[in-house]
Amino acid sequence: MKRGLQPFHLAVLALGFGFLYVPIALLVLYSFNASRLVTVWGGFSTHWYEALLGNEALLASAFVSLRVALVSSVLATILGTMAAFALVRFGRFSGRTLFAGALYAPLVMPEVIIGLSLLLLFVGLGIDRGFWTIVAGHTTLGLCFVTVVVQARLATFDRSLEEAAMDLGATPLATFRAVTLPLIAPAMLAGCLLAFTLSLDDFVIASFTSGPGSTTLPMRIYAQVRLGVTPEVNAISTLLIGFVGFILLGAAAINRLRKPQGSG
Amino acid sequence: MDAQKPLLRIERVSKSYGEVTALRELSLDIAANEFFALLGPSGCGKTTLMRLIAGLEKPDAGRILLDSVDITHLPPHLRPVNMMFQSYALFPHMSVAKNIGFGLVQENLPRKEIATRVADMLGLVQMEGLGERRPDQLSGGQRQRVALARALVKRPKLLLLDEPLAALDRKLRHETQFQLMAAQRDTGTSFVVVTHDQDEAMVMAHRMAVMHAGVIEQIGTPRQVYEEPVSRHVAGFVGETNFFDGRVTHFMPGGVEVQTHSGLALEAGCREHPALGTRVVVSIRPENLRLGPPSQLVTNGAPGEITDHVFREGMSSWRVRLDGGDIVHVRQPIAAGTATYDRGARVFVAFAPECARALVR
Amino acid sequence: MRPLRRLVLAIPALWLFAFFLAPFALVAKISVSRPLVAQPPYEPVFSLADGWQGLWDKLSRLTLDAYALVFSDDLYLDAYLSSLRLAAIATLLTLLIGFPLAHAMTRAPRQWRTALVLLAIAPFWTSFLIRIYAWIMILKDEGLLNHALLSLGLIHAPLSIFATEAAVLIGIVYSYLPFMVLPLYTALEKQDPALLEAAADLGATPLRAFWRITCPLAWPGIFAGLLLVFIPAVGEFVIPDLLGGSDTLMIGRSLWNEFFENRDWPAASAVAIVLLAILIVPLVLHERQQVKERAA
Repeated sequence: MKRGLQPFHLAVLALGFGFLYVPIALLVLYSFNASRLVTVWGGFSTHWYEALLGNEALLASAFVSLRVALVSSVLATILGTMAAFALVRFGRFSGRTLFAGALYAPLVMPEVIIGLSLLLLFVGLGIDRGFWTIVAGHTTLGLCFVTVVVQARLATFDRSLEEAAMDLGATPLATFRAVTLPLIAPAMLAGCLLAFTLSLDDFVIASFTSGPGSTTLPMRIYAQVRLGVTPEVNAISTLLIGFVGFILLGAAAINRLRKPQGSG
Repeated sequence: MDAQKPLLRIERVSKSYGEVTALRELSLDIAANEFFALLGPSGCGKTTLMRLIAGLEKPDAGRILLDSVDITHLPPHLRPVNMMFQSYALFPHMSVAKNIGFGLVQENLPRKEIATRVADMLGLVQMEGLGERRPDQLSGGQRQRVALARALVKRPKLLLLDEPLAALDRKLRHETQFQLMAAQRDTGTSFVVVTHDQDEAMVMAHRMAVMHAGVIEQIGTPRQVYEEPVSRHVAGFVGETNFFDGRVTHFMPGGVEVQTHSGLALEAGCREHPALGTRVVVSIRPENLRLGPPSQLVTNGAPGEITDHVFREGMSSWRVRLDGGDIVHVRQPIAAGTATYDRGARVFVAFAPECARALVR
Repeated sequence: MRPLRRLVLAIPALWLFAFFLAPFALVAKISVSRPLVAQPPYEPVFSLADGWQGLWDKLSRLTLDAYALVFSDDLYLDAYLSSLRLAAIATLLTLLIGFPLAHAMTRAPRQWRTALVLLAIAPFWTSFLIRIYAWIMILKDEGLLNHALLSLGLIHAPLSIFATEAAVLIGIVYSYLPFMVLPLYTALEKQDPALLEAAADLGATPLRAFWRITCPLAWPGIFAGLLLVFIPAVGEFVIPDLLGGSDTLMIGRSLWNEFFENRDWPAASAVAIVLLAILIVPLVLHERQQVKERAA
């Protein structure tokens, strides 16, 4: 019986990951195309990036997106961590099924439904749509993802660590600060990053919840994409991918630094 | 144990989880400077009892007194009791030294004093120079020693140890037993070990309590418990034994004669005074049974046939099917000149009445 | 419950109630209101100032017209059916691609696996919109795929994939593949390879062992993957809008158009409510799956 990686498996991996990554690679590649035509390679150029710098509307939306992502991911992390604690630590409380249901449903719920319902809420309450309504929408979606990530960590959390801390004289608060928090921090960070990128990338919910003056970057990109394939869009996309990649690598590096160096 | 006030007194403590009763009006005294073992199968309530002493659970009823102070409702971080967890519960994000010093930091002691006391503890558990390691860089035995050091550094009046040897391999377990005994002697702390392993309790403890279904069945020195078990459960749990079910037919000085269901008439020592006809079980340890040639006619015994014979750790072990149908286990040291019997041999199995116990419960 | 606990539960619960559950009630309410050329474009609007009589008057103005529209207009019915069909086909395709991929990942050397898992999830971190855009670039009539095939001499006239259902399927499979691969990988990775050895030892051919051992044991992962792809795919808007043609009907797109272009809010709400009703069974299955998974 043969085990391990056979040529067949290698081919499947190459094809599968090729399928996932070739489109992204092409997109990045053609952002450096000197030609305006997609299919014709006209030589290397950073022309389109320079053009972006002059596009003030685009930069303004990028700034809106960043602020929304920052605020909503922080809120989502706080709320999501609380929700995860409630789910894992509070045993069976009344309404738990509804609570868990409301947390898991947005993970798969079509975005048009979430977007529409939020918009109707804001209109019904007479709230002007803008920065904060987008934040509210993104926080709601983000907190569910944070909950799932933190919950997974809490579920495998060895409670005897907290008991040991209390046994050694730490108050409940000191125990939380010295033991619980440092151990779930990586999961909270991962959840926060997830919420951040979800917010940065979201187009549908933002379209429903944004108002005048709060056009997000994906909304701007969408408008451009509808007009056709242009190297500018490639350039923005590449920058966005690069930005998220940079954050992820940074987070991974921080996590690695926090861990012990090898074993000696 | 003398008539001094006990260090720890547990008074009629009960605890249940929903339908399940973990402890039933349990009382227990533990003296200062004592090495005490709580022994029992899983689910007998020994872990619950330990968690109640540590303050990690609250009893439904009863009191817990430490040095005559009622600590029943004191939260764990205010109790002068420390615990060594079965999983060791070493903080994975802290170095060995930080782990050991954690309890002292909570007391807001000066840094210098913390450093000295941590260094002392590292010495006590022979871990000098390993203070900067992380728990995941240690071997199982080293982790166990860090856990011990961390629990002892606060100089608790009482140290609870939850299955302290369970995670170690056989050989290391043996060595560690002696290290724990030495640590107890050197620090003068009372140790309460929770274990399901009767060997551990027998080796280490001054006194032990055998628990079953939420109550203590017997308290005594390991030798008392082994030689004079009070119940079928204790006899079966502590050491190996052979049981014969039967009824009391005669009284003898210090004992009774029992007619077993399989038709044997056995004499056995008995502490209680059961009425004639009472159902009892006779317990005889394998090392108290003797094998002899079938011709030998002795009272208190029965003929039978060897079904198995193994040799282990300097002892010969036989399984014998008695003619009445009972299967008994006989163990004897191998010494020069001892007769040996192979599978299929006819033998006579006998014992001295004072080595057997007739148990009412 | 202790006060602190109460707070830790109450804050996220209130948030979810305010921004997730309560809005659904509003959607349901507006779906039975009448469209109006005003802001907001529906009536009646309830207000406390109305008093009981006013409230009663307004209640009597509620109507099921929007639902009548949704059920009588072939365009909506076709859109629902076509959404379900496309989502189902795309989900199966995702499984067909995802299973071999996840399986091959479990066969990779142990030290590769974490990296492979990260590689499989990483596209999730890049913008959805951007990934769809990349496919426009590739699939357009004058796009990269046709260009490559033409210059290789494999085809003589450009393929028209862009603006067809095929493009939508490619888009869905591409976007949701990570959601399929991850649960599948988790389920397959847990399996003890000795099981297959035991099956072989007992005389099963590799194919039979795969079918009788690997697949049934991987079922929870397969099921999770199917739900994770199917449910959001049914209501997808961006993919049919950008990759589909004007004749590609999907309900998410109909909802969007009803809302943003026709400004018929009651109709859009009715579309959403019916969509929710269609998805309620897979949604409940997904909930159960999550609860089971989190409990384990």
